[in-house]
Amino acid sequence: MASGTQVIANTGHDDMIHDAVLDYYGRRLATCSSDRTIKIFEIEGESQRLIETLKGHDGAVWCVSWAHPKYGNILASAGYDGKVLIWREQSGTWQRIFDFALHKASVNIVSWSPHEAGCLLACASSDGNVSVLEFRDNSWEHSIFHAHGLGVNSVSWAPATTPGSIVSSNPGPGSTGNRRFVTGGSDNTLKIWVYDAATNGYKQEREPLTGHTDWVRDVAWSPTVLQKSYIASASQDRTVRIWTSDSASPGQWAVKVLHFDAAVWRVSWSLSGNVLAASSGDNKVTLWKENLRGEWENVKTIEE
Amino acid sequence: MENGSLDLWDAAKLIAGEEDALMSRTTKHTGPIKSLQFNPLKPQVLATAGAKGELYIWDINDTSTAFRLGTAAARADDIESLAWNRKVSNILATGGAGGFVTVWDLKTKKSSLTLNNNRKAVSAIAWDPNNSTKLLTATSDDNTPVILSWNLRNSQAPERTLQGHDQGVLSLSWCQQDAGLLLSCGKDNRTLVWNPETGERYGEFPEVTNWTFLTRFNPHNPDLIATASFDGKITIQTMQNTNPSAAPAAQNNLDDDDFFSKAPTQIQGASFSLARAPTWYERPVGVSFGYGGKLVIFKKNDSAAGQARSSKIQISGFSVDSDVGTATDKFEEAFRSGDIAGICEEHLQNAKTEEEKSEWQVMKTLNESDGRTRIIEHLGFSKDEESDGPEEETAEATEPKEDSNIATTLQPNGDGAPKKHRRVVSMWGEGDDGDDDFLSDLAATKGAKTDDPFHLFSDGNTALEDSITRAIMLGNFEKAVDICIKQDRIADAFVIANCGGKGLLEKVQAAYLAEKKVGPSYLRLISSVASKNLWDIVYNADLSNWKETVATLCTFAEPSEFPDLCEALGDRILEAGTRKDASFCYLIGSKLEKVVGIWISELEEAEQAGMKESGDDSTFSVHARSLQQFIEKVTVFRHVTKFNDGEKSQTEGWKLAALYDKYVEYADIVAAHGQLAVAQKYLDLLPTRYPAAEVARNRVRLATQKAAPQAATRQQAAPVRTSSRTPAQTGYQAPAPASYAPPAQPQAPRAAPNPYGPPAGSQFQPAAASNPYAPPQQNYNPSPPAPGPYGAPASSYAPPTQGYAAPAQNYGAPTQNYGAPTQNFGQAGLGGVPPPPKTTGPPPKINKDVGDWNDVPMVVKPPIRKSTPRVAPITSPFPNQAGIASPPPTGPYQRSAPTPPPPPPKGSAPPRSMASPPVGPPHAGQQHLPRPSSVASSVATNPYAPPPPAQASTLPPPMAPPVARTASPYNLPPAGAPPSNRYAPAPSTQQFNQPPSGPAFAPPPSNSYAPAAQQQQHAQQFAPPPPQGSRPPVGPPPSAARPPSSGPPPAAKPASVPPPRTAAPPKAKHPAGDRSHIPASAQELVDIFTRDMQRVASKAPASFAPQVKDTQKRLGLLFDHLNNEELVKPDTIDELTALARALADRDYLVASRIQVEIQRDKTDECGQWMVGVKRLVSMSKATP
Repeated sequence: MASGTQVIANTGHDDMIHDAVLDYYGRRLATCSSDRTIKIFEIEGESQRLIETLKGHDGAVWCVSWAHPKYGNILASAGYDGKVLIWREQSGTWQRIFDFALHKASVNIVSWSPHEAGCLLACASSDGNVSVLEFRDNSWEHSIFHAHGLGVNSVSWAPATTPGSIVSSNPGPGSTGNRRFVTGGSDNTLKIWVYDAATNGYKQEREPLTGHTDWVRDVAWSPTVLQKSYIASASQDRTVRIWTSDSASPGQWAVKVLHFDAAVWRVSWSLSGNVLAASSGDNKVTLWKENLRGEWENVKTIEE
Repeated sequence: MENGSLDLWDAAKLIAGEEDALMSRTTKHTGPIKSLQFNPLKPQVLATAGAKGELYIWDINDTSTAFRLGTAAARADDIESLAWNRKVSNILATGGAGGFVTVWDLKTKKSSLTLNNNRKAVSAIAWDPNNSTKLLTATSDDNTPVILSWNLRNSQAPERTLQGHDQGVLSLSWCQQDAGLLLSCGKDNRTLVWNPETGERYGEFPEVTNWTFLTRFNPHNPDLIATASFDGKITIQTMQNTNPSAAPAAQNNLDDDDFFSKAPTQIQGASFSLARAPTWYERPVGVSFGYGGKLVIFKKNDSAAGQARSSKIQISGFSVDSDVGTATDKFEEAFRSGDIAGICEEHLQNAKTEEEKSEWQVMKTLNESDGRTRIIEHLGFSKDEESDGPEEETAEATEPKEDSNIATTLQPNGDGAPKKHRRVVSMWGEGDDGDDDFLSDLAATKGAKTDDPFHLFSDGNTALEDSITRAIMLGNFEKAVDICIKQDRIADAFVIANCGGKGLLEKVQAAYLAEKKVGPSYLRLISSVASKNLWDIVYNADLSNWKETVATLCTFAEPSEFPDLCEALGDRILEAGTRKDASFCYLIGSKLEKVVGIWISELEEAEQAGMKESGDDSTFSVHARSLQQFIEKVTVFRHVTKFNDGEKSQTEGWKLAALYDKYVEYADIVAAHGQLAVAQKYLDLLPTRYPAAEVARNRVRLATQKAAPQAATRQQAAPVRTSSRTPAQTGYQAPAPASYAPPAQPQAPRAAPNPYGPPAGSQFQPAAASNPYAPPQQNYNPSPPAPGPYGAPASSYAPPTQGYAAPAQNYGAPTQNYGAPTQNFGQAGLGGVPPPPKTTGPPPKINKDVGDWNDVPMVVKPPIRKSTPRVAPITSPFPNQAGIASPPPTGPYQRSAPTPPPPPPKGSAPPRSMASPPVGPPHAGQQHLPRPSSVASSVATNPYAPPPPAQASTLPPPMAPPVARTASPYNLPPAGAPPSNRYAPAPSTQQFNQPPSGPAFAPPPSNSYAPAAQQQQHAQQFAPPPPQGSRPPVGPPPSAARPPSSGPPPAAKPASVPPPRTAAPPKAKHPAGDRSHIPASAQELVDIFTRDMQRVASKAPASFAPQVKDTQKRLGLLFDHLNNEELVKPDTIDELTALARALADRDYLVASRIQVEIQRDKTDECGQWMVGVKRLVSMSKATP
């Protein structure tokens, strides 16, 4: 550990926590729990302070996600009640500003698009559908489509700039960026979806990525803007698969498999996209890095 | 099967529809087989049970090895059900029609336990998926349709009884994924969901029309369950439907292939809802990354059954690419300690390519004091060598190389001249002789006869020579030279020219060199040197000799020209493809933008190379390392060349954009490794309006912000927000803090708007407050055009500022300054306010954006309120510009915003100079200030109206000093003065507290815009009219000269007024505060005044602070004049210099006398600054 480890032992949640994410600045932590609440902590150096508890879900809350601050202090949450709630802080008070209840089953993960692509929220639901909410012109629009027959467990957006392309710090106004995301489902596959302006919907980009032998619990598209695209998928089958696609041959995905001792619940890329963290059912968190030979090495294991 | 045979089928083949799906058929059982199950842990093991207590265990790979458990004699009861233990592979339970449940152990092949199911037939058995000692049994008896829960540790009685079915229970399914879920179905046609652990009944699926004899969770996806019933259907259902109304209930037959895509559901959806989510949804552990190298982990705490579950969260730093972190640390450390040489040295050693090596070598060289000489040495020439041994050097350079002596004096030293120089040497040698002869001849001619033995016209002479001689005799050297040149007698010509004076000499020189262009290259070199035209060398010298060229440049180039020469040479070299050498040229020429270009491509190559080396590094670390190298290079380079980025204040078109991008990227990486301070440092190097930087800066700032400032921010945010609302209603948009606005400015965190604060910031448009989100396009406008420095004007009306307004008038602005504002205001005044008389003067210089403004009449613009959010994001280096625009916060300003201010004179215009005092707006002159037409008529009642001029004028000048301080925003680094700052509650105090800015921040003509023409009368009390008399505009106000600042409010001016653009600026100006153009003649006095002012300021009692500041400001005006070489005439400068010297000598008597004289004799030149000088003298006197 490069710096002190800060433990929040008493979170105030009355049940298990299912997600904990820092905001864009690393100043606030949002957590959500089976106790149906969301809590927001302010991180102040080595200490933290609970500043808000959000109630509104009728079931366990699975996921929280911060929007890019340019859209405001916005938090999206999703839960077993099949609802996606959008919360906003305004002058110190939190308000629920939008309810999205069209999913018929648990919504497992919500994910904001890269801010360059717009204010988009993708939601993965156990009803097999993925919905994309877009805030535009002062209203929320949504498109919902069927993605994985047995339920969608996760969704993750591709970076707004295609790897290998010239990185522009100032994308032109009005560009929708690279609206693509990957979903992972209970059908053990990953699917990549791309925005189709013609239909204003999303279409599957290629045949599903297969290989997992059990549910794909989580998917994460690396934010890296280096040469390759990386997608990590965590599965119930105790593996993480890392799919890579070189910008030279788009659409071709090579795969590496990382083995674990337990089902892997979550994968997360570091901000610069060079480190992958995976959390598995045995309460272990492991950090992985790719070396130049293309091998993935476990560089750190964080246990109790 | 009923007949007791066991058929094995290949499921895959069945699905494929193949014929030979049947794998085997064996008949061990003597009666019907009623139950069978594969072992969940050893899938090749199968148990079958049936009539007469027959229980067989099979290995399906070899069906012949089946064996029977128990004996045929033991019990005659039929076995109705069996189930393998889920945890222990050798345990099996069977339930018989007689009501007994037997637990078998395959190891001993005996029954180990028997449970008594109330003597009722056991229709189904289910083991606990997690606990090997628990099982459930179902009773098919209609009278006691219960499910019993057993713990084998106490086999005497069931733990729990689940009652709910109306008739016999036929099937059980205990969810494998969640032991808290159980399905049961039975003769009552119902399927129930239970929590077997608590006995709680969650609910019930829709009833069907016949017995439901089997129900199962989907083993793979327990969200789905299937129930088979005797009505011939299998019903597939989901465990959950959160949206029953939207989904029609659906029951699907198995025939429906696509049943998954439908949403089967229970009709009575409301009848049950799981009290808690199934465990397979419950993510127990997770990890995510946060900004600043943070890693957030949450995991479930171990907790005993029955206790409330809980999780803990852990936030830790991480650094996996440790080399990034350590490299950064190391570099920062070395850099801080100033060990540039050390850094260079280390890189030299580690450099992988020659290219890199030489670059570091150069930088090391540059770092040393005697830079140019060292460069020459680096190139392989020693200065001593050059002086002493041209031959050696020549040999070394493989080309005739000029001797510095030759070059500078054109008097070659004949001794040791190389052979190649022979011609020259001999020429001069001859010349010397000849000269003597001629001289004597000439002398002789005076008294001697022409046919002297020294025959001037000797027999051997040609006619030509004769004519030369004749010309010489006649003193017509020029003609003689001409003739010689024509005849290619250059040597002679030189000699003759020597007599004929310098002009002639040069002529010959030129002629000779022109002639010999094709000749030895040294001549060309001399030619260039002689004519001071190094560009010729740079552009035309053979690139293979570039080193020599550089050496020449080093020797001869003027410091001011040197960089450009190097650049030009570098360009050529680069075209020729020698990147390394080109970068060398750029390096010594301190052309950062060019060097960076090369380095970036090097960076990419290094990365490529790094990728190829097989190491344990990831592509990312290679990338990061290359970037680190790059940044180090640039940083060192900047340091050694004292590079000052003159473009920081620009809003677009940065030459260094590529570098900026790298900086941002680097900062991101560094920040990701937790080194926020370092990240910030680099971000601070970026232009304040660089879009990418704003976001990153803000992020770093917020991430580093400690709790206290944060709290402060929040507190502050509230009042600001309030104010922002109120003014909005009145038609003025108060400034809203913008998250993006403030550049990271640690000193002024207070001013930083709370990112979590009101949405009024850039994040949300206040106007759109009713919206959940303002549209992104509007909220966030990182692109430079948005900033609109003029957008901020509303703020000028903010109450705090107003306090200064009145006093400001006392000072009036420097006379010149009136011109511009007057004009502008006049033009802008549309509400029927007649333009002040002064407006008749030619419009002052207006910058180019004016045209844009003119395009749109002010009145039609939307209220500025809309634009305020944009204002906020301004990180404008000219935040104070806002003050200028004070007048009507209407659209036009907004409009003007997108036009970037023209860049200040290269490198000379510090951004701050652009700032204009916030004071300006509230001036009394506001009466005349244009307002939105709707408001114009009500000016008088305008709540924002400043105090009437009269009041202002009554204020005695001494009170004024505070006013000067209002200009103190100058003290804030441009980047550090977020516009919102001023609007923050009581910012005024802060401004007052600003230490005197010192000469460096020479008081800007803060009033330049402030005083509208209306105030002229006041101003004139203090300021003599400009030279041109009563037409103030004539004297180009410095402010007008400031390129962007001139932007004031000419928008919507009456059509009759000629567009400001047409007014040619009388004179190119330098921005106020600029001190780089002060003529040499004035430098001394500036220095002395500055020094003395500092001395006074540092010692003056606090009570005199206002006076001190005022004096400083006034001196600043003087310096501005000097800088612009206006107003103050050279002779006055001399007098002032004398005064300054007297001051330096502490001869105050003399100083005052001179001062009085100047004031008396040069009234027209004395502006406000004179008071400052006077005051300085007296203060200096009073200061020990």
